[in-house]
Amino acid sequence: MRKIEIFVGFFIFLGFLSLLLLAFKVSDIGNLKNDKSNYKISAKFTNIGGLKKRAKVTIGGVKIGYVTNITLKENEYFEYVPVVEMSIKSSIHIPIDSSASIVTSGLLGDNYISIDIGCNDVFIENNGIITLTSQALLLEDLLAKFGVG
Amino acid sequence: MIFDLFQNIGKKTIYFFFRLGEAFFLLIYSLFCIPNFFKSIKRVINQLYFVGFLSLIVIIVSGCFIGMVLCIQGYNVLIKFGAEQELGQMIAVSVIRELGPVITSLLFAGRSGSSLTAEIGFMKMTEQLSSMSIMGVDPFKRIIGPRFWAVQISLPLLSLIFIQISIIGAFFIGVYFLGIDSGAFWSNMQSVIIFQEDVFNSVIKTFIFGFVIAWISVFQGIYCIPTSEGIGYATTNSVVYSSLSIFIIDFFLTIFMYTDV
Repeated sequence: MRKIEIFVGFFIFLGFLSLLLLAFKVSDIGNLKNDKSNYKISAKFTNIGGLKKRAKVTIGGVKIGYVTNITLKENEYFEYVPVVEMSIKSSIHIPIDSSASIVTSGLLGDNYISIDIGCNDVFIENNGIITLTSQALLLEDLLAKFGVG
Repeated sequence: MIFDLFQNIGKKTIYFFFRLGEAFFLLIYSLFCIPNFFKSIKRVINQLYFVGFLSLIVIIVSGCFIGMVLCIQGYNVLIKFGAEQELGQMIAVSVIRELGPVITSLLFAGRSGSSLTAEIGFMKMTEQLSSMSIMGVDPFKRIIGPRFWAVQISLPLLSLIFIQISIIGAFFIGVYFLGIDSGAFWSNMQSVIIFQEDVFNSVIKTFIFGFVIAWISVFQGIYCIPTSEGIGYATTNSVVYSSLSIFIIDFFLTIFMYTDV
């Protein structure tokens, strides 16, 4: 009976070990754990293209944060403007004259945000806004330019 | 002549609902009558050993080889698009969402489900069940309940072990034989697998499959014809019905979980 209990205990331990490995090595839970040391900024774009939540935010290709929310806000001219909220690591300081653009990884890959650093000495605070943005490059616009003639 | 046809259809339908009612009584009775919790734990642990631990070998070996085969075949297709670094994603998504729960449940139904049915049918044939109820021991609490709970507990654990072993097997074949970058393997996988959606839904699937397998196997065992031919028939039935139910339920669960219905 004791041998049986040892074997069953080992079996259940193996099952929970696989669950833990799946949670932290295979899925994305391990990446989101240091959320407390991130601060939020937002940016307005005219067209976000295929940008999705959890897309990466990079400076020079290095990931410094991710997209948390994408919403539509109405501005003073009663137009709808897409607003992208991002969560950035606290150790990264972004000057207020930096620009954000939506780029595609590869030819047909996912969209992500790339930030070009400006040269001002004042940095963006928590809940700040990046004012200079450029819209995503849409394949349809390119084809329209070349196709219509 | 036409009345014979109606009579046939009516008889089969009534028999079907009669069996369904018997199955529901069996289910409620064996799940909810555990008054003495600590004494039953010992029996559940005993059954966990036979049902769960002894299936480990089958699950680990099949998991390992399925992971390796998926890796090779996936590589052959993805290399045409230059996308062989996405191999980790492909294997993780297919194994976690579909292959893990379904293949584990099929192997489990074939191994433990059939042995449960045969054991209970044999007890019925040698009149152990009726002599137990004559002695005042409730056969449902003593025999059926622990086996039911053992299946329900061990199937999710076996499925998780299967998934993890197949991902590790695929990792070894992909990185050391096919030349995929190991960092890209894990990081692409992490960017696509969302814990709440993929892993959690896979565990929910195995809970439902375990319930179905346990119910069908135990039911076929208790209500079989107590001859040797009847036990063979009941064992085959339990494996076939479990497997078909798993596929059908998996289809509906996939529609609910993974599309925007």
